[in-house]
Amino acid sequence: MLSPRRLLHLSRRRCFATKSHYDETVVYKYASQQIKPVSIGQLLKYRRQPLSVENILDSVGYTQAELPVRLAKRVISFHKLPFIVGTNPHIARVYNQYYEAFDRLHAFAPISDLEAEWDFTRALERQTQVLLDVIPTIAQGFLECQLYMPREERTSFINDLIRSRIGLRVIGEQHVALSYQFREEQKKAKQNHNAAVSTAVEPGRVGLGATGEDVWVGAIHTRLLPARMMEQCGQMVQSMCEMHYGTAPGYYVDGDVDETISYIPSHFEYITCELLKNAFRATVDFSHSSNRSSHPPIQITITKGEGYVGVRIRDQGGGISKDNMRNVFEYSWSSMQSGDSADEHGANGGGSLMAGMSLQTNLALQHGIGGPIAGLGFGLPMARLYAGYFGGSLDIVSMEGYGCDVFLKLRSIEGSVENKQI
Amino acid sequence: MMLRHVSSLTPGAVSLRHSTTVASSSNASGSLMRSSQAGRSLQQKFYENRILDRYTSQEPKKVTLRQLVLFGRQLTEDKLIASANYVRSELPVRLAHRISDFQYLPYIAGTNPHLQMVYDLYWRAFDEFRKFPVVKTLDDNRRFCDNVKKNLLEHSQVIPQLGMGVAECAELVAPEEIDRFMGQMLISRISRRTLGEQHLVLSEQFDDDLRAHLGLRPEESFAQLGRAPRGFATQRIGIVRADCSVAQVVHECAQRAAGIYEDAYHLPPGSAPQVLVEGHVGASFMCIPAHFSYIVHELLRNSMAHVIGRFAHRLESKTHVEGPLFPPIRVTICASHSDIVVRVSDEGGGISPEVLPFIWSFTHPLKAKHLHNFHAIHRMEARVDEADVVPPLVSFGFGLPMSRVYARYWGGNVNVQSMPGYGVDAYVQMPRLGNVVENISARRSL
Repeated sequence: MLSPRRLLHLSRRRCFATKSHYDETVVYKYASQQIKPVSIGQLLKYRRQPLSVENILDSVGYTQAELPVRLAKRVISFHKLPFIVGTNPHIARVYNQYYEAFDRLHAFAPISDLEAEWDFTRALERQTQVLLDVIPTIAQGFLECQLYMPREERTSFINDLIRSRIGLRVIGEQHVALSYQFREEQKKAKQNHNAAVSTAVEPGRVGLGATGEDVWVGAIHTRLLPARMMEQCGQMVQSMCEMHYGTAPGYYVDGDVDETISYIPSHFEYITCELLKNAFRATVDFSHSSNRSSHPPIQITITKGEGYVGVRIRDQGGGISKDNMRNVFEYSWSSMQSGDSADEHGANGGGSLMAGMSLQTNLALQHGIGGPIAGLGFGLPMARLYAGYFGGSLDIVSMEGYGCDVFLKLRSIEGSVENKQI
Repeated sequence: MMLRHVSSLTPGAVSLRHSTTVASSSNASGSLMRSSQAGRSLQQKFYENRILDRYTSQEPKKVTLRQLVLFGRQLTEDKLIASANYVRSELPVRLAHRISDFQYLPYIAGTNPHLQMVYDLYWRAFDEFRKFPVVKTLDDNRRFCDNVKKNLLEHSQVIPQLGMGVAECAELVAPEEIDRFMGQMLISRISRRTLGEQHLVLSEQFDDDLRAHLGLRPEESFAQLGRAPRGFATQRIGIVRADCSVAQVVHECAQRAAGIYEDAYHLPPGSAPQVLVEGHVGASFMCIPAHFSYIVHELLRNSMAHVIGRFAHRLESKTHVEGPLFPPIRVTICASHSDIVVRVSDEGGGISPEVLPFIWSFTHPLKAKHLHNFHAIHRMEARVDEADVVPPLVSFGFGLPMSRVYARYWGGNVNVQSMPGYGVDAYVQMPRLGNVVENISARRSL
């Protein structure tokens, strides 16, 4: 529960321009603490179903300890920016968003009951929503500040921000997912209990009598089918491509199509859509510029290695020139045209969300094919950071004049690497 | 103690005085003496290094393929002689830089008998070429060519010797250092052989053309021929091809590789994995076909070996299999304005994760057991047509790194993407226009 003192503190947070230099003590106190790296063991800690109250309180305790520290560090990182950069409205907006998230979340007293936990979870959900479009906003801000900050510093700031953001979201989403999962299970258990003769239940555990492991552990899907994900994303990207360009290449998925992996679907989805988006767009562009009568299909091959899954995406989109290859994983700052957005992508810009895809992916799709920040050039560096977060990798081979091969490797989030820290 | 003996720097005086020193420590350096009998001893060379310094202070004069081609467009006697003198003066410079590299190896590696042998060979070659008089006439050139030919033959044992030497030193020197040393040795070796071979072929072709021009039969002697007639010129580009067809090279290499494996595994003819060529099949580019063939051949061999290995059970199965025994190897040719990329894609199961980090290394201890195979052969020039000299199934662990050296020599590259459990995509990228300068380096600067 937010104490009156905290509320006052928050209200003073309102305006960036009038904040007092001396309000910073709380944030500095948190920011000076060490970050405990996210461990896969922690993520998979509650994989034995069903979830108990202890599990949930344990999870929220971990989350409550970790998030404010990480949020505080993000806030502090803004303090180091040059003053002129900090006053840019987009940068200021993101700064305030992080500060507010920190304020709201750290203000909770230590949680010991389900009601408080639920409040916290809802607050966490809200903040996650608020912080959703942080990257494009920052990008816009830095674009406007090109003259005031050297490229390496901007790149380094964004890399830190993205990596940290992935960590924040993994921890946050994991807890939110677990919380919802727990309540789902409770609801089901109550229904079963009312409908049938009750079986003996351990105190404190909501017994479902469920045997075998369930598929979800919070935000992690333990039996994700890459082939199916590629199919779904392929369809989505193909439709967007048709909508925007009026034409789209076909695609097919082959290889080890029955292989499964344990992974966070939203991450996988984001990376996949980013890569497919590039492949589709390049193919259409190249067909046009080389007067090709039909689009060669995008070829997607799934391969299974020891503890990870490989995805190879081949296109005949003309490849990337040698000069551009140097920059392909750099954040591109200059490719945005000012008049690009509203007029050209009229009906498609901004609003429409593709059903069934995470909000993150929706934004990604909008940033690519059509949408207000098309071609901002953030997709690949971010996709690579996501791929690398759990020990995977992303490589691109370009055959100029022909097409590109992209090699994505995602490491399965298994209990066998319990002590691995990320 | 050594310093007292050296009163002058003339080779003769030094060798006389040093013979006693060497004899007294014959136990320690006995093996050294044995391995460098034809040459002079290590310690003598220390003081002769001044000679080397004169050459290492010069930068190699690098050429491009285009320059080689342009040179031959109007090949006159004067130009042929100029080429001879270019090679004559360039080889010692390039050799000097590599001899210098040897000298900076850790002592323990440098004293390995195999590396010693190569070091010695290089010193002798360096001496010979730097002392060779200026070439002034066609006759001089023929003598010079004989010298070059002899040298090329003598040095064909270098690769196996280097291979054995680095295998034995794998534990003693950091892999990165040895890899760098090997890479530079090999690339420089390719460059010297290229210059030498180009000049040899140009000279041969010039002589043939001259004979034809003069109406002489092939067996007729050249003795009476002093100078070529005034204004005689021919048009040759030696070992370079201005329009080498990529698809043709791939088909030839595929046939050769299929033949090798069908023989080795006693497969019925035509049953080796098929090689399908797609993409810009009409593409051509300026290159030295022998180099390009080597690379393509190695990649196809690797692919075939892995595919056959992975599906070997199909060979043993007595039941009749519909269609081809093995999944095909797909070769895609991509041509842009400035580059050719050839992608060799197989379903051979990929490269295992333990081996993957070391596929480009010449020397990693994991490979050392392969390198010992060098003891079985004496000559190796890393040419495609060596299948009868070099047993095809014996692995040295050299194919990939050597291919990369060939590619990088002219500014290209070889890259590999492995999908364990599925297969490998290998990429060769070569500049197309012949306007990239040789990628050789001077010696390691201090």
